[in-house]
Amino acid sequence: MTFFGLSPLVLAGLVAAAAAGLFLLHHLRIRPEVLRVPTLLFWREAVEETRARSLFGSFRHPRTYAFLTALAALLALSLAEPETRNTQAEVRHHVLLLDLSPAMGARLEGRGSQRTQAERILDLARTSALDYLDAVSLRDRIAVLTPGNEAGLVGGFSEVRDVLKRRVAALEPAPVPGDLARALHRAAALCRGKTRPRVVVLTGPGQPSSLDIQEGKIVPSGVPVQVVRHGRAGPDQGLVGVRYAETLEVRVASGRVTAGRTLTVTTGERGNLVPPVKCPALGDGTGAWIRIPGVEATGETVRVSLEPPDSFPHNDSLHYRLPLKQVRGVFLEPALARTAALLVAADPFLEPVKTPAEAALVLAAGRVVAEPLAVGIRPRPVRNSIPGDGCGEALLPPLYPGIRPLVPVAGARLVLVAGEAHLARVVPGEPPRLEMAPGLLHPDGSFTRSLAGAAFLARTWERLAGNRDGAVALPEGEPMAFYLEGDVRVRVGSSARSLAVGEGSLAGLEGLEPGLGVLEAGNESRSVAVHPAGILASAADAGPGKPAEPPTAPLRIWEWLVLLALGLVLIDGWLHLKGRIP
Amino acid sequence: MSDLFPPDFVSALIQLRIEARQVPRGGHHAEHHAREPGSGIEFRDYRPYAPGDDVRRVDWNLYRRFGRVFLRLLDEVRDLPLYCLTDMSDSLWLEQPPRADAARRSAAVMAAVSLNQLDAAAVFPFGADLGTPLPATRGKQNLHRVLAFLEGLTALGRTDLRRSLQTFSRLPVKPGLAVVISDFFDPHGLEAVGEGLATLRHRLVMIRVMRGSDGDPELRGEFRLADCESEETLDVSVSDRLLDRYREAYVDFEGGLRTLAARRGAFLLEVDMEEALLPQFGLLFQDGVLKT
Repeated sequence: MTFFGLSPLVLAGLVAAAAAGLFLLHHLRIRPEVLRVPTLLFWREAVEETRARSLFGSFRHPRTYAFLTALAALLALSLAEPETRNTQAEVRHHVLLLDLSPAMGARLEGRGSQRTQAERILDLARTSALDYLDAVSLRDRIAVLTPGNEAGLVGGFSEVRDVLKRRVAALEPAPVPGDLARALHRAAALCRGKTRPRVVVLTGPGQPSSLDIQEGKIVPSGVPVQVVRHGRAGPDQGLVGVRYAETLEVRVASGRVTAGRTLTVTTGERGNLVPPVKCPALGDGTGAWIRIPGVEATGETVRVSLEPPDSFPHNDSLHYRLPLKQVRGVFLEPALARTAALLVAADPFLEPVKTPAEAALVLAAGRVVAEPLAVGIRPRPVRNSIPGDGCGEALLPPLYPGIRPLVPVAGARLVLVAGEAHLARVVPGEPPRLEMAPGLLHPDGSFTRSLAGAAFLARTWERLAGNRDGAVALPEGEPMAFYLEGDVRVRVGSSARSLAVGEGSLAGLEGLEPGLGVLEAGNESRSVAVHPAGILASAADAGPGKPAEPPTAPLRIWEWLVLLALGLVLIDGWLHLKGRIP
Repeated sequence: MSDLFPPDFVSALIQLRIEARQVPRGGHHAEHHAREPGSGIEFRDYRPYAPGDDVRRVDWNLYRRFGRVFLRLLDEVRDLPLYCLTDMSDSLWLEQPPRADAARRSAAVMAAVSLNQLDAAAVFPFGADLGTPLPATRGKQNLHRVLAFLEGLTALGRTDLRRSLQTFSRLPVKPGLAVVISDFFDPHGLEAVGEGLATLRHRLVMIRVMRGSDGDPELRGEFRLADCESEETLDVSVSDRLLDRYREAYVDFEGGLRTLAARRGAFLLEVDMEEALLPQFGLLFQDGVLKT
């Protein structure tokens, strides 16, 4: 038996409450005056009828008191999450993801004039993490991650708890935003094969956070994720992200940006690339992507800064290496017209499809036309895959003959899906959609299963989304939720291959909108969350300022019954005291 | 004299007497007139001589005057043995003063009356069974002996009227007047009392020792009632409703006991021990005489 999730203070409080309850029960117990009488003949005859009318017989016997004590003990046991021998073997594994993005360094609002000494959001999150570390049973295992460029492991499952605490206490905001997707996948990797895993993300206020800078987030399924947001950002927050496709966009972090500050974009060689852009005034607790058109610095490192700078420890300046526009390069392929699609065809994406299936994507919103490729054309693997970060040299795979360009739908993102022998394209004019590639990612493919592959897909998606048109492949084996920025209805579906009998993949999915949804296939069902501000599987937003809640088992039905019985007995005792029941 | 039997109490006893309508044959000379003439001293009547009569009882004076033979019939004066079956079970010793005092005084009254009339008086204390009795004694001079015996009685355990009376009925005693003094709180109920009384071959007087509070207890609240004899307990929350039920049960008991006495042809005297004893015996000894 463990009092899992209870801090010593709470435990002491519970014990005190239990003692008080027992004391109360002891006083509630009626202590009859002992009276010796010549005979019980008449009393017994008189009592027989009246006793039958009382609720529980009576509250008059020590056995009743013993019964109440047993009830109280049962209640305490139920609160203590009693574990059987089987459950004891299942040690819980917790992964704390502590956001260290620059936005976490924001000072809390309304902390007086000494703002530099005011508590930061990170402090709250860190305190929450430390509390969590204290609350979790010593028998359980905790790992702490920080979403950085490379998800940093602060401490693994085998780390001593005190060491973990010291390391967490020493964490400071990172200069650059982290990568939630990568961290989540790292957490998922840590949890793989572990018993009763759980991921808790400790981050800042809801909307503006470095965790939001990726447009597509991947949350591994099967791992419960709790997102706990802390604090309320104050004004004058800094920069948290930059992205660049054709137009440089700068993400201004949480809080209110003071009117009059300007964004400047410079390079070391060319100075100001564009005239300073004046920041619009934003409301409290919001953030925005500020578009800076005309920045032509592909492959260069630019400096984006807020001016005038202030002394707050958030980012007023970001150095950002603008990515190469590989996708754009595809567009310029002579064989294809501009704004064609990207075919992701590099090794190891393409693996032989065992079941030739139509590439009709079941959940595509619009009409999908499957076009057979020319006979004899098969994908040829190339040695180099597409670099994932978009900043390295791109070695694009050759396109296959027979692929015809798509006409982009204005204001929407089209996804092209290709397979080994089939090409599915979205008919222009149809609603925007998200489709899955049956052949690109084999369910059993190593790439699909790998974290790097999933992360690559996420970045590919992001890149493609930034370039308006493109294609993306979603792994089947790992249900993932993506979201599209803007008012776009997302439909997640399965490929024709996955519909093959006996595959058991997810199928029949439709109508996934922002909010909670369930993916079902056969006997399998998984919960995903599609949220405009972040896609989180099985996640519940704890809301701003709410501390992380260690996992506690909800009251089971028998515990409610025990509570009910206890309440009835107490009422019975009270009625006896009041003389309502003879 | 002790506190149990003060002098005024003892002196008052000599004014009471018992008149038996029927006394058993045989026995000792006493003051009870037998229904049939016998060999006493007092003249009762004459009757013509019949063959076989005792010629010694022929009134020769009448023969001389009338020339006919008449027998002189004399009053037969016999005794009426009194058996005081006195309940000394624990229930009679419970309160202060104990009911046993009233029971013993009642036994003293009955015994004194009997001794005054030269009758034999015996005391049989009982509880779970018959205790050691006081053998039949005669004569006024033995009253102190009876009183001393009564004073020395102690508690005899649980009440078992049926067993005690059955034991008594098996004793080889001359038929007489049995006085059962008890609270009649037999744990087996009135049925057991009736069965016990049915075994008695004697004329019967029942004296029930009671308290006024027996039928109307002044209790309110939570009590654990303990039977003083069996130590059984019963937890009760005394309310008006419960008291009403109790009174009903008690009245039923009283009525049942009276029915038993009537069916048995016995006197039933209910002695409230919280009141003076002898005036209550006035109901039994009307004009100082108990006519049985």
